[in-house]
Amino acid sequence: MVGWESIHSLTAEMHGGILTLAAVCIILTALAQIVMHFQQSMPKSIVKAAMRARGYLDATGYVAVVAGVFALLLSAFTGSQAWPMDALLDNAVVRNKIVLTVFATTLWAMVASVRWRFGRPLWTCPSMAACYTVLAIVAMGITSTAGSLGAHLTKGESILDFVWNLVGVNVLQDLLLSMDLALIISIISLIVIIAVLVIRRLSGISQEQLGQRKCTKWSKWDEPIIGEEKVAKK
Amino acid sequence: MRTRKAILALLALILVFSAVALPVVSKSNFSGNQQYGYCDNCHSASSSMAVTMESSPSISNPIAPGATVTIWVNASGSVTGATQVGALIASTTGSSNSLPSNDGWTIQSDPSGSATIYNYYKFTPYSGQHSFKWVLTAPQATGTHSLYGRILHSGSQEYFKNAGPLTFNVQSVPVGVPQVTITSPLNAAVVSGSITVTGTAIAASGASISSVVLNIDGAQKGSTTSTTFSFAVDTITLLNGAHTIQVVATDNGARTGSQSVTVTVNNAIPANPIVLIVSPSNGQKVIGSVAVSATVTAGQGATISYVSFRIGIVEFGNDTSQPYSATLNSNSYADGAHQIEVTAQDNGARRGSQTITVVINNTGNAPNIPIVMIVNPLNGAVLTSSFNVTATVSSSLPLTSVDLLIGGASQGSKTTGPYVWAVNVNSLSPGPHMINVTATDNSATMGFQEISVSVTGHVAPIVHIDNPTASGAYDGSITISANVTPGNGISYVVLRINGQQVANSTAAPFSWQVNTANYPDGNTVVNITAVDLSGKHGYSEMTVSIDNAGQEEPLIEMGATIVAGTLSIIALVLVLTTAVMFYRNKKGGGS
Repeated sequence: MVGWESIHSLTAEMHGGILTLAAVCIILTALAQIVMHFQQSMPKSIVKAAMRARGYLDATGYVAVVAGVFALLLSAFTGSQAWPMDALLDNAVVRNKIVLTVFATTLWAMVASVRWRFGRPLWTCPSMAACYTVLAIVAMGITSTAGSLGAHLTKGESILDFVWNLVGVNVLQDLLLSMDLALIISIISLIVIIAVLVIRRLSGISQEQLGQRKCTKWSKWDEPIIGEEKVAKK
Repeated sequence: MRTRKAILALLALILVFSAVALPVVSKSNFSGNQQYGYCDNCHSASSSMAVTMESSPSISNPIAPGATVTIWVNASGSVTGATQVGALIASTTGSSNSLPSNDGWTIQSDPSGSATIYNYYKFTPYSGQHSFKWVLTAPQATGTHSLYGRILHSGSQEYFKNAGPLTFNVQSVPVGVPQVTITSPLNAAVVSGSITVTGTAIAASGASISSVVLNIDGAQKGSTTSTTFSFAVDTITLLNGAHTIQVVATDNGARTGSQSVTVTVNNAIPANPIVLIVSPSNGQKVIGSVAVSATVTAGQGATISYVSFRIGIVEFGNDTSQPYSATLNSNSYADGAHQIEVTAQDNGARRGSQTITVVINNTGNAPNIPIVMIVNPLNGAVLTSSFNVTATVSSSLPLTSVDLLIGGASQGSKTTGPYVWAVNVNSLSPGPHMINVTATDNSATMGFQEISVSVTGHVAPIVHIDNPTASGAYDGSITISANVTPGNGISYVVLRINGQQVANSTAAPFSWQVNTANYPDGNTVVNITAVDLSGKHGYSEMTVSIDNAGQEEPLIEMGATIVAGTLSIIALVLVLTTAVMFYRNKKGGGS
């Protein structure tokens, strides 16, 4: 009979792979947009490749982010089954892994929501594209850190250990906040969320759409559309 | 424009809230509280009130610099004729420099609960039970620091009543020991050839690693100052079997932390050469020139480099190639029994030999000797389990005894056949052993045969700690379990924590429930040792960190951390995207 440990290994590899694909696609799309910005001084072959690839990369990245969020949730479930429930909170490393997994899921969900909210036109705005890319990179970093903790739990070591040694971080130590600090952060965050939503509503930008007309003054970016090189030829 | 209005409205809301809320909060402020010295000469008459002091933590334990200390001044009884009554805390008696701050204390909160904090608190009514709480931060300076309590009241006469002092011992918090993690080889690994011992040594906060030392079976084999250590070890230099690899890290405060793993070295070492003397036969009578020949079988992968033929310590011939032979001139020796030993050495300096007894009989007067032949085990055999020594003896005279000696020690004597002895391999140490069977007839003439065997025996038990699985902080009740691979059965398995025996068991599963609250917070050494039926032992050890103080409510803290982190992530993303949209809106001229 296949144990939950084996199933969790499978799902962990799955979400790791899907989210890595998502992060790589988003980063490559950003690079392709930069190539498009400097297309006058770039070799034509590179510009052509960037133009051809970015549409596929953006779409793949979006799909991978959404799939990755579901895969993360599935992984969290199999992980909770794999570890003995009565000993779940005995281990600080497990607690840290749970916390980081929730953070990673939240951040990836926010990445997906940003892409859903603004659609492809987000790539026409350098600042929003940068925001989207940085969020994906940070989310990937937290996902990797959670994975590193998982490796420590199962193998006692992680391929990222050299990174922790390099930066002098001991990821095995408990990172839980004190109750007071958690409460303060929660209250401040809630106030910020409510304030921002109110401001967005009052200022009328809650329905704001991004687009080339608004964002291409500096970047001259257009949307990464699949098959656009054929359109360009015509 | 609408945005500016919205921001202004928000600011106005905050201001209105502040204006309303702050007075409500400050309503509880008790006017007349103040910083007030001990003033031992201000009030001269003893009050009728009873006053006591208590603290948390207790003064019986040292506290760290900057630790939070709660002081209660309790007053009971009643006062008549007073116009005001107050309680205070002070760092010393005397009329000056007696405020807690004069001795390095910082008051975080006072009984009034107001934002403005004093060491003196006036209270009403002037009767009944009162308990006044101050929360303070301990001084940074180490040493003893006292706090005094005092009740003062004035009216028709100025009264006082003292309590305390509570004297705290402020000590620096001990720095934890270095944490060592051996990442390779894994505990219970079977290794061969050259291996690398790798891992990390992490100093506790506030310390740094000064040295990392590799010990194998207690002997130092290397050292470094790198926190990411890597030691090359050639296991050929170790005997096959269990060995303990220990890495000890020492920090700049001479605190040490270590981790040990037990590995089994299993190098394919060629067996010793096996020598079989073909001619003459054991016990044979010989005269004149005698051709002595032997066959030699080298171990796998080895070659024979030298074969020596000797009587006693005198070599009468040697050979380096097949067939190995030499000529013995028996005329050079007196008549009687002599031992011919043929020794072969291979290219790895491993040796094997066989000895036979011949009777030189050039004068024709030499007596017959008992002829011994060891049938089992064979010369050069490698023995891993208990075995029988079986010999045949032929003699022309009645035998008085047939003796078995292993390594020169008697293992038994028989007067009649069959000549069979059972030998427990666990009674022999690993390594080569000489087995000698000597027969003595009734004329006191002795004949013997001697062979060489090698005993590998069993290995010590191998212990692998299954849980805890990783370093990190633990709290509450945890399961400590181990998997034990027995060597020669299991006598018992012992769990020790910080060197103290906690539990033991004689049969699997070796699993125990341990309450970490019974141990002080900090690094804790978990050791599980298994002892087999022949007394050999193996162990595994790891250092874990116990943190009950910070983890009393891990589930609640984890939930709070998740809520705080999730909300802050959502807030951050909303702020970022909103900021970008504002920026775009402005640059793009609005939607």
